[in-house]
Amino acid sequence: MQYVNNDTGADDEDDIANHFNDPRKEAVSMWMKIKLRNSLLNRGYELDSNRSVGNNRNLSSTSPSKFFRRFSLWRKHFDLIEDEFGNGTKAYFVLIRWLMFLNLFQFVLYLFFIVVPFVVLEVDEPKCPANATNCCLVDYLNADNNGNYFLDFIQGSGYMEKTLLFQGFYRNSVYEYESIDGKTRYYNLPFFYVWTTIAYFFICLCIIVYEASQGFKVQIGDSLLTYSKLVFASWNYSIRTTEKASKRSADVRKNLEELLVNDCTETTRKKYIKSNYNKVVTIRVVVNILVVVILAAVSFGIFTAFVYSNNQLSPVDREIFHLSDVMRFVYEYLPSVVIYLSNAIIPFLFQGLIRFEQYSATFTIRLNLLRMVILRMFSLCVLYATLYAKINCVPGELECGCNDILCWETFVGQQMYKLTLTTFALQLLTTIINYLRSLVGKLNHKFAKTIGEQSFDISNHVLDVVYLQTIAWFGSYYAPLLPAIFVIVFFCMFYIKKFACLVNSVPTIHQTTETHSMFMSVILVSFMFALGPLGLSISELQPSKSCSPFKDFATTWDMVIKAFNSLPKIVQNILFFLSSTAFTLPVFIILCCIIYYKIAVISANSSRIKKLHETLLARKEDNNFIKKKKRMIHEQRRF
Amino acid sequence: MGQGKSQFSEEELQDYQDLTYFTKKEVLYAHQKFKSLAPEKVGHNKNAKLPLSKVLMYPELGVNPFGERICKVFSSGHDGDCTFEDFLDMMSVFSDGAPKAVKAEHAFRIFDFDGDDMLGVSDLRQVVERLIGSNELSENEMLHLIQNILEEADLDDDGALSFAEFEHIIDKSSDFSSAFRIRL
Repeated sequence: MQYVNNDTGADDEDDIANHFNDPRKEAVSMWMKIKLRNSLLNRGYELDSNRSVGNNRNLSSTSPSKFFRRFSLWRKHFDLIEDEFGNGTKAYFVLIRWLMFLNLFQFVLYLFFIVVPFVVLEVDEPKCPANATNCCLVDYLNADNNGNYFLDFIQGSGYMEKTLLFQGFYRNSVYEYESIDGKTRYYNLPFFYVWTTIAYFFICLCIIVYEASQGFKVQIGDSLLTYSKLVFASWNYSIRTTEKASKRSADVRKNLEELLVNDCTETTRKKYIKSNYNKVVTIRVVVNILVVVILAAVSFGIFTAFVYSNNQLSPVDREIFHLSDVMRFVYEYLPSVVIYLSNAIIPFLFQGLIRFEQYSATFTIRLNLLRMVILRMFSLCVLYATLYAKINCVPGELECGCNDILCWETFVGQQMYKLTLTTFALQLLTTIINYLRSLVGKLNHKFAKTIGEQSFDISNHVLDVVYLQTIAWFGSYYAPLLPAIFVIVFFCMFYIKKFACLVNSVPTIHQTTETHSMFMSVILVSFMFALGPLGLSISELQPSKSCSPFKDFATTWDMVIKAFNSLPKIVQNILFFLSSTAFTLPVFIILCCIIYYKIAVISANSSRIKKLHETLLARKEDNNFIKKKKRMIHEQRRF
Repeated sequence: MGQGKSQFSEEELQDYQDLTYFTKKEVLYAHQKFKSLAPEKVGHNKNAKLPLSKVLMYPELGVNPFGERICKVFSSGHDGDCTFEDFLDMMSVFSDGAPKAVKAEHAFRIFDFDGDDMLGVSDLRQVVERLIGSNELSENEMLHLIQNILEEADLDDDGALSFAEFEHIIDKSSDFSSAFRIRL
């Protein structure tokens, strides 16, 4: 036993008992364990056996945080995926489940605070207020839109507009009701609408930051030791068939070869860069410019598609066109399809371009991922901008709306609803196409194999899923029932992606290089891209006159301020104090000091590690020297 | 099954439960599995010593490149022949309940082919050769690989991996616990 020091000649069993109270940890045979255990008990020591065996059971150190593994849905599927594809791929599916529960949480919040109170408390028919110049709300709610039942359902137009799905249906009312103890209480629906959203986003942010920090802790130092981990920790001991075993061996060998080859190319690459520095720099600059140009082209494409389809749907001269239902459907969905196509095709371009830039393997992966994230977020931003351009107008005194849109909140909600359905449907279609590709790949022809064989590229699939979540975050504010739809979408996405993984792709070991932190950083970026525009729209845009819980206010945030003014004076004072410089400046300074202290501690630790390493080497040298001397003395003694 | 339970006394079961990461039920189940390797021999003597060849008939051990080493490490006579207690020990370490440190320690012993408490160049060579099976690497690649491993993990530059250095590698592998597992 390595850890028992026999030099002192002390009683072995005493030493052991002093160090360990758990005979199970000893690497000895069973009868020795029994002997140990008995001697421990005889001397009155307490056995430290962790009785709750069940506790350790699912304490897999695979996912770094407890929040991820709190739920037991789909556990069998995870085990299957882990056996075939390794831990990194399993983490991806755990992510899908996590996102699904996030949306479920939002749905429950909205249901409890917004939908149910509205349904229960709203009993009055909308009435035209006396002495009003126009009854926008009444007109809007009573407007009749005759359309195709099914088409209206999937486009969110017609009768669907006047349902709980869209924000425009909810009213700007403070409801009076009798509570259980007989007092009249007020339920301020607009107030709760905004604050539920803000609370949900705040909780989301906390969870994401927590998860990101967990992943970060695991990731430090993970990128070293690639060879050692591949050799010592890559065999899956639960493999039972010779077929899988030989496949696994082949995989390990392939990975080892890849690593060795990468090493070689790395040295040649560095040499090449040193000698052709200027050429490489110009190529990199050119490629980056090309990327920007591509992004600009994509934005222009999306913008034109949107403007064109809008023009076709509501032309200036109504008498000229009467669109058939099918054409209407095509024009409604054109922008979403264009966005999806750009997101699907442009990554291939990026992958081709990045080869010319001669970056190292890890940096290539990261840069490619960054570019694809930017592409997707950019296309969403263009969509937001085009929507903004359309709805940004101030209706005149006598008009209820402008630019043909009576209720822009519902309009935005409809766009998001359509985007969701399109993205989901096209995902399904892509998976089916990939299935056909994989069938082609099963043929033995070389060309067939180049088209057909796919590997499960996690970064692309992560972007798919996170993109859906970004739409969910932004769209749910304008369509409160959208989270429910997203729960269903993510539930189906799990099975779709599982199909893509197990059936379409060829199984390979995926190294768990920084998977978790990659997920979390992508999610954080997308979160900002959803939150930013939403925050802007809450604070800047004027709500429509015909609908929405915030009508008759200048901006949504005005409503919050008005509600704030009705809070008790002491709460107002506290909040004022918290936002004043007298409070925030000292807090800011303290935070800076803490950060500086942490940085100092980190640098002190790393220099200590270096020192320890040097000491270790010096001690080894001393040891060798002493051994040599010992040998010399022994040999001298012989003579 | 009642037949299984009558072979062990309550005291023995309690012993096994205390000294492994199994519950009594799992101990009995493990015995069933052990018995299925050689039903007649184990039927006579519940703690019979089965030869290496019989133990390797257990599917996960048979296809494992280190199957023989595993049996040798856990067998009381260090010759690969396992009694039921050795088998139980083995399954306990490979179970979900065993902590990472215990698994790392046993993994170290499995990989230490020459038994000198260090993973030297010859040990590493044997590990890689067994792992990749029949698809061999060239001599050049093998040397390069071993050099890289030592560069990465050998912190005190003595040309071999001590247990501390091995444990360091295992600490950084997040999927080791789930990979180093055999479900009964």
